[in-house]
Amino acid sequence: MSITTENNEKMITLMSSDGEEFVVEEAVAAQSQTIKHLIEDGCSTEGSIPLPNVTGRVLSEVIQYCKKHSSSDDKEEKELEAWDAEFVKAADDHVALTDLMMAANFLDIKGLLDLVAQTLANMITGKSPEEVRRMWNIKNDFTPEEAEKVRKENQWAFE
Amino acid sequence: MGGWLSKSSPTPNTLLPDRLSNLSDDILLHILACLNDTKYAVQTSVLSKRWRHLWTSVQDLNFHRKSFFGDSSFHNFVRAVLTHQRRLNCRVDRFRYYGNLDATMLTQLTSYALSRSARELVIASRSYIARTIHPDLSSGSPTLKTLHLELLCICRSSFGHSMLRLTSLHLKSVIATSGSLGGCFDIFNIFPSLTNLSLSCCYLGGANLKITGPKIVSLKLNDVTDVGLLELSLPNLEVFEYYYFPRVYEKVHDFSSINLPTLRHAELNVDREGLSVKVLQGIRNVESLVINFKAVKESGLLENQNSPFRNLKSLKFRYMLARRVLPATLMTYFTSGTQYSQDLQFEFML
Repeated sequence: MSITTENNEKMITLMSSDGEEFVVEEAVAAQSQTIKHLIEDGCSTEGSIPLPNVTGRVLSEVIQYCKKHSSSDDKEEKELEAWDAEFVKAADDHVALTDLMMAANFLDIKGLLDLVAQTLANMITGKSPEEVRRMWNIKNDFTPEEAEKVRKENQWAFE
Repeated sequence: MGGWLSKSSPTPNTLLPDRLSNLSDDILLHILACLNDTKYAVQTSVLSKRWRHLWTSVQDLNFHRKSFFGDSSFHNFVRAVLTHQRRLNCRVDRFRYYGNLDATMLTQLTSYALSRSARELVIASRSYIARTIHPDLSSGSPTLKTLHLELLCICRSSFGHSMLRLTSLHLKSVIATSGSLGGCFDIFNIFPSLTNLSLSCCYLGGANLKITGPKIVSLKLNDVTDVGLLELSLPNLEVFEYYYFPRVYEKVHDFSSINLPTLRHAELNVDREGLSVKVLQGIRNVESLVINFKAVKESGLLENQNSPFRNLKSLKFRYMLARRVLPATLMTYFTSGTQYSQDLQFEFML
């Protein structure tokens, strides 16, 4: 289903895994390489483009990001950076960030992928392994002997 | 921003699944690369079985001396990573090293990076002693696009004939002797594909510097000293930054020619001695110009000169109080030639 607005922008409809529909400008959606290829292959001419791996709440965030970044050609780079920082800060929740990361990966939006990866990396930097485990609820499944062995293997990274 | 993000209530951590480890290898490797320090990437090996060998596939290597207490523990770490069994056949994308090194270490780093098809290579020495050793990049790598060398010594044979694909070159605090460069540092001859060139605090031992090349769009010359004749002939250059404060004992830059027909933006951070009419003539096609006010304010240099700037749209004076009145000679020199004099934008900055 493709609709055209007053501005002659071609609109397309995206459908999330939980059945929510989003009508967005094609130029906005095409920031996702995955969607861009789907459009090129003619998948958008009838009905909406189904995105089976992305829930509605994540998709709405992703669309926010894409809207901001598609309309920002003439904007200052600094302003966009500040916006990005606010965007991930609002998503500064482990679940949200990992969901966003998976969506960015599936939809193939490089800017968003880099942004979220850097945010997650910053959360790990400078923390002890114990702190990282606690933060992410990572289960230490090494036996004490194995743990000792791994630590020894990589001891030069702990000096 | 979306309300769903803020609504999360403080759930006890034990109830949350481990969402980080559940991400795919590709995604986790992307995150590990973003750590920007290989030390932290290796440390994730002890988290759990899932993480144990993950770091060995990371294609970005970043070694920072500042993450270690001493040189020896840092160097042990670097060697251990470079000789790690599981890394033997692993490609490298970006290879960056910031720390002290000796000739042996330098050889080890460069051959590791080049033999694994690195796209970006940064070797930033942190010790002045290293200014006597030079890298051997002549074995080459068809993939290398970006090269950054710091506090090292270079000569013609450092690069061989291997730099055909390089698009970005940054040399900082690099020294060369005229003889080692064959009397002339000819950029296009060595780096024919270059689009971005930055030479910062480099010492050329009296050699001529010839910067030509149809692909170069951005050039930064920051305090390049002891250079013979300078030739700039860049048919597609768009951005030119020129910082130059010659010391009293130095010969000032002597330009044999400056030809920059497509230049759009220039920034001249120079002092009186560092500025010449030839430079100003050379950048005459700029649309926007930032210039150090101190360089021109008392200069008799510009009196009775025709204004060469035909396309000037924006002019910024650095180090100038906003209320200060621009001397008439300067005003005429910079603004009388432009076809955009009606909407010329002025700015003064400290």
